[in-house]
Amino acid sequence: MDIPREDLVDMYETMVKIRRFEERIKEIYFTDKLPAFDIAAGLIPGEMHLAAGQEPVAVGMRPHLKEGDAITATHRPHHVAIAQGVDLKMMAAEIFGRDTGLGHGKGGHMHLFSVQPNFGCSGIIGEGIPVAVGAAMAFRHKGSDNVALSFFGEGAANQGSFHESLNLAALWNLPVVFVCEDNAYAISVPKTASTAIADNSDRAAAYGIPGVLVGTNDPVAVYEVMGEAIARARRGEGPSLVEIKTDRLWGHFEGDADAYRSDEFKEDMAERDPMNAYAKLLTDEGILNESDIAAIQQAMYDEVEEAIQFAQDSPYPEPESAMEHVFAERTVTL
Amino acid sequence: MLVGLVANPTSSKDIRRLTMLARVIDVEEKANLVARLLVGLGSEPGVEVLAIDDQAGLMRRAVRLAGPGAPPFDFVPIEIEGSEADTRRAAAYLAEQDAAALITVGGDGTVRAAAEGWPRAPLVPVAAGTNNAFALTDEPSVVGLATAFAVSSSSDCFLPTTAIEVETTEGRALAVIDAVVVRSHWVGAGAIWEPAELVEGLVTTSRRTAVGIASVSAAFGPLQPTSVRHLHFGGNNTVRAVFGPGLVIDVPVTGHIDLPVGAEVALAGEAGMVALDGERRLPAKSALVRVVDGPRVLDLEKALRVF
Amino acid sequence: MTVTSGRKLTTQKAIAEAIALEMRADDSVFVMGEDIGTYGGIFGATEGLLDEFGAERIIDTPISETGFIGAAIGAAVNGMRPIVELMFVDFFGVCMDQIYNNMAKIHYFSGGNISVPAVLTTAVGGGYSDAGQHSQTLWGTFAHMPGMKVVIPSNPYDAKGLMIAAIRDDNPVVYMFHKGVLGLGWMTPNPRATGEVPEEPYEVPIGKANVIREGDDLTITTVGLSVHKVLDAADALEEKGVSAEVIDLRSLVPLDREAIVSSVEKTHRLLVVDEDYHSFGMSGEVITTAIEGAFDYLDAPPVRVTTPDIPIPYSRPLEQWALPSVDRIVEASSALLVAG
Repeated sequence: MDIPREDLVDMYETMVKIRRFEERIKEIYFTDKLPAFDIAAGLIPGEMHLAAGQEPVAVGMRPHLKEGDAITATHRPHHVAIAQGVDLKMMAAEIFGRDTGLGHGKGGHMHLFSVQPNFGCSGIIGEGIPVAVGAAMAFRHKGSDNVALSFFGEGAANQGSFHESLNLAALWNLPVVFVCEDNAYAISVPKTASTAIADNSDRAAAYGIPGVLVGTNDPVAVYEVMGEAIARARRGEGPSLVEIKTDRLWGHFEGDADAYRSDEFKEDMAERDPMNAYAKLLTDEGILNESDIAAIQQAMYDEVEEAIQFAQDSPYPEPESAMEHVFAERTVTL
Repeated sequence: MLVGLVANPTSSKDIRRLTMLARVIDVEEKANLVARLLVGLGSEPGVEVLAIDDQAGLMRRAVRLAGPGAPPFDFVPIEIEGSEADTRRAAAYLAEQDAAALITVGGDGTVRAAAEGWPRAPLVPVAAGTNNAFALTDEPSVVGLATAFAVSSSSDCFLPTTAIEVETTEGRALAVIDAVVVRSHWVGAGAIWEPAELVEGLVTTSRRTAVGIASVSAAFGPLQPTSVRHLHFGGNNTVRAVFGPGLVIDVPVTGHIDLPVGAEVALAGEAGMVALDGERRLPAKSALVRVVDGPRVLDLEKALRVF
Repeated sequence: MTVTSGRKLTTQKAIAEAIALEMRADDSVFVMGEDIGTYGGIFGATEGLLDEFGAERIIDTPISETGFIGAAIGAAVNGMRPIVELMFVDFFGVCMDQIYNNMAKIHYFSGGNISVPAVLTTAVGGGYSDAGQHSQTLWGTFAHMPGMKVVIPSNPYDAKGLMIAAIRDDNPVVYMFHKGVLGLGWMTPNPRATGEVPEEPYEVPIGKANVIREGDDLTITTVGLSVHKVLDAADALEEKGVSAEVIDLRSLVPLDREAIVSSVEKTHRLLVVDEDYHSFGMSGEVITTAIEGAFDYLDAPPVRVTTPDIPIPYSRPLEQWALPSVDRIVEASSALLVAG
C-alpha cells in the first residue's frame, strides 16, 4: 500500500504544530513562575503534562478518522486533541483559564472537552477508557460507522477500568480502538517495575481481541497499524489494542526534576527525536525539501502563536460564573 | 560445547494480526518455549549456552522457568538497543566465539538478522513468529536435545542452504528466504500483505508446505537445493498461494527463472523498497542481489539418530 | 396529588412502568446493569422490560461497574439516555470515580457544552439483616458531591413520577430506591409500598419536597423508608393529641430548603429522621438549613433520629436497635415537644 503524499505531509505538519504548541506552553508556564517555583503563579497555573516526543502516536490516526469519531484521552492530552482537530485557540484559551476556552475556564489543561471534534480527556488514570466503550455503544445503536478511540498510558493498563473496558468491548464486539502509549514510565515508576508481563499488547489475548505492538515511534508505522485497526472497527469486526512504544522527552510534569531517568536514557531519546527522524525520512524520499520544511515550520509556528495570542488577549471569566454549568437546562419536556 | 541462543521478544505481534489471521505469541509463551529448549539442551553434559539479553526479560523468564534442568548459562556481553541490530551483533559475537550452534527463536525476520551477523552459522531456527517458512516447528525440548547431540557429535548434522545477498546504496543485507521488491516506499509497519504490492523477487525455497513467497514459488515446481527462483509479479495469470496465516489468495505471476549460486541480478529500482524475508527494509534504488551460500541448518532427524 | 384510576401498583412495578413508558416514547433510552435483563432486576426495577424491548436495549452486564458506568457516560455524551444500575449503593466503592469525578463533572468541565443525561439507579437501605455491606443508604455521600441530582422516592406514585423526571432530565440523576418501600414479595410486608398510580406518564418535579401531612406542633422530615415510619409515628402522636407536619423531602439534590424553612416557621420545632449515618450527612444539612433560614422561629434545638456511626450490624436485635424506628421517632418527638 502506498501512502498518499498529502497524508505524509499532513502528519508532519501536525507533528510540527504539536511540538511547537508544547514548547510555547512550556515557555509560558515557567516564565512567570520563577525564580522560586510557585505552581499557582503565572499565566498557566496548576499542573502541566506535555507530550513532546509522543507526536507520532497521535498523528498516525489522523488521516483515518471521520467526522463524529469519538476520542478519550489522558492528563497528557494536547497531542491527541491537536491531531483530532480540536480548535487550537479555544484549547489554548482553556489552558490559560480564559472565558473563551473550551470550558469557559472551568476544566483547564487536564479536562479539555470538545463537541466537534468529539474529544474528551480526564485527569484520572483510566477514567476515559470505559467512556470510549460507551461512545461505541451509541454509534452502534444509531447504526453509524463511527469508531471510538481511547488513549491511555502503559501505567493505566494496570488499572481495573482497562481490564473491564476491554472485556466489555470484546464481549459486545464494539467499534473501539484501545491505544496504549508506552513511554516506559508512569511518573517515576518504570514499566519494568509495574507490569508483570512484557508487553501490554499481549494482554489483548486475555480478552480475545487482537493486540498489535508498534515497536518504533514512527508515524508511518503508526499510520499503517492504526489504519488497519480503525478500518476493522468501522467494518464491524470489533475492538483491538494497539501498543506503541514512544518517548516522553520531558518530565512527567513541567517542573519535574526527572532525576529518576538516567542521562543516558534521555540522551538516547533526544537522538531518536521523531521530529528529526521523520523530517529526514521525508526529505530522503523527496517528499519535502528544505524550503518546504521551513515553510511548514513557519506556518505552524504562526498558527500556534495566533492561538497563544488569542488566549492571552482573552478575558478571564467573571468569578461568579463559577456557579454556572453545574447542571444543564432541561431539553426534554412533558 | 558452546551453543548460542538468540530469542526475539517482539516477533509475532505485528500488523499481520489485523491484516490476516496471524496469531500473537506473547512473551510468556515464548519464555515457556525457550525454557523447553533449555531443558532439552541441558540434558546432555558439556553444553553451555550464551544467550542474548533483551528488554522484555524473555531470557530471564525462560531461565527461571527451566529451573535446574537448564545448562550452564550466561548472557552475550553486548549492549542491548531493543532492535534487530542486537540479534545481528549477538550472532557476530557468537561467530567469533566459534559457537557450535546458533539457535534462533522467532520468525523468518529473526533468522535473517542472525544470518546477517553470521552468514554461515550452524543454525537451529525454532519457530515463534508469524511466518515460519524457514524454522523448525517441532517440540522445542526435542530440538534442544537434538542440538545437544549435534554439537557433541563428530558427524556434521547441518545441511547447506542458499541465501540472497542484497546490495544497495545503503549497504549490504542478507535474506534467507526471499528478497522482494514492493511498491511501498516506507518501512512503516514492515509487513506485506497485498499481492498488488509485489513487483519482482527472489526466493530460496519452494517447499510446498511453506507460507509466503515460498508458497508462490511452490506452484512452479521444486527448486534445486543450490538454486534460487526469480519471480516476476503482475499480469493476468495467477497462482494460488498461502500468502500468510489464514490468507489464501491468488498472486499474479508473469514469469519465473531459476538461478544458481553466484548469479547476480539488478532489481527494479524505481519501484519502491526491497522487503527481506517478509519485511520492508531497504530502498530498491540501485539494488543488486547475489545468490550466495547461506547458513547451515540443523538436520533434526540426523541429529537425533546420532546417539 | 389526585389519583383517579384506582389502580394500585407496588413501588417496584411503578418504577418498571415509568421506564417502559419512556422507552416506548424515546428510542435513545436504554437500561444497563447486572441482572436487569433476564432477572428483571434483583429488586424488580426492570421487571418485564427485556420481553418488551429486547436485549439490545435491556443489557445484562458483567460485574464491571467501572466499565459499564463509564460506558453509560460515554453513551450519554453521544446522544443516548442510559439508565444504569448500581445494584447496591454499598458497591459504589469500586466505581465511584466514574460517578462523582466523571459523570458529575463533565458538564461543568466543558463549560456547559456537553451534557450527561444519565440515570444511575441503585438500591439502598436496611432493616432485613443484610449486614454492613448490603444495608447502607449513603445518600449523604452522594448528595455531598457537586454535579449530580439525588432523588429518593418513598411511595409508588412518586417513584414513577421521579423516574420519568429523571430520565427526561439532561443531568446525571442518582435515583435511590429504598428496598423497604418497593413492595417486594420476599420482604416483610409493607402496606405503604403499594398505592394508586395513574397509568399515563407524569412527572414529579425533582427538587420539590412533599408535605404529606399538615400539622402544627412539629415538623418531621425524612426520605425513603423512614417516611413510612414517620407516618406511623405521626398516627401514634395524633392519638396523644400531637399534630405532626410530615415532609417527604423526595430530593436531596436539589434540596427543597424553602419547604423546610416554611414548615419550621409554622411549627417551630424540627425533628429529622435519617437512616444514613449520623455524622456529616443529611440530618446535619437539614438542621443547618432550618437554623440558617428560621433560627428566630425555633422554640427548641432541632433533633435527629439517625443510624449511629457504626457499620450496620447483622443480628436482628442489633440492627433493629440501630436503625430509626417508630418508637424512637415517637420518643424523640415527645421529648422535642417539651424541650426549649
